[in-house]
Amino acid sequence: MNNKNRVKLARIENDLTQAQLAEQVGVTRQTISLIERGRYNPTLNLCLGIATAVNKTLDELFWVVEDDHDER
Amino acid sequence: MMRDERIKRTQNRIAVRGFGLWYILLLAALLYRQFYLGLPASEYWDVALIFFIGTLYVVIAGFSQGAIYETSVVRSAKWAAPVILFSIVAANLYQGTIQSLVDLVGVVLSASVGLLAFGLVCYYLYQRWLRKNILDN
Repeated sequence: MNNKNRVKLARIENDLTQAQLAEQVGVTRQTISLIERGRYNPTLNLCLGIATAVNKTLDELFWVVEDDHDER
Repeated sequence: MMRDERIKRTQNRIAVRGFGLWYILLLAALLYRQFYLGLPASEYWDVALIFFIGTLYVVIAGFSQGAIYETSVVRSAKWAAPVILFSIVAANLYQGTIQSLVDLVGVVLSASVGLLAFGLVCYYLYQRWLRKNILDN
């Protein structure tokens, strides 16, 4: 089971750089980059912080993708 | 420099792996001194004490902070206790402290009482964590 997100899209829609979003939610730019690339799973608090910063709801930003082998 | 949640999590992961490496290497050093070099306990008691304190901390903290799965611990204890008891008896036999049946009974009894007391302390710590964090009063 993998997680996907639209953090990058939402960030761009709000005309924010990674650094600006990072500063708003209180993390490093590297962390935002890793979240956007799906290389880091943020805590619920951070997810909520990002959602607030980009004016989205949690399920608009993050969702679960079932593995292909689960469908066989 | 900012230490956000990702950096803290990464550093914690590194610290855990570092501790695990240290733990295994310290155990290896102890076993090397005891069985390969055949040194008396007076030559390595300090290293053994460090190892013992580290082990005690991990176990006590695990129970007192709810970092265990109760069912699996109870299931494990049923075979772990005899294994630990056997190890203590074997270690005493190796050291030559068991010379008679009375000595053997004494070692088994004292080890059993010690294990039971330790188990009760761990059980109490875990129940206290449960009452404080999980169970509704």
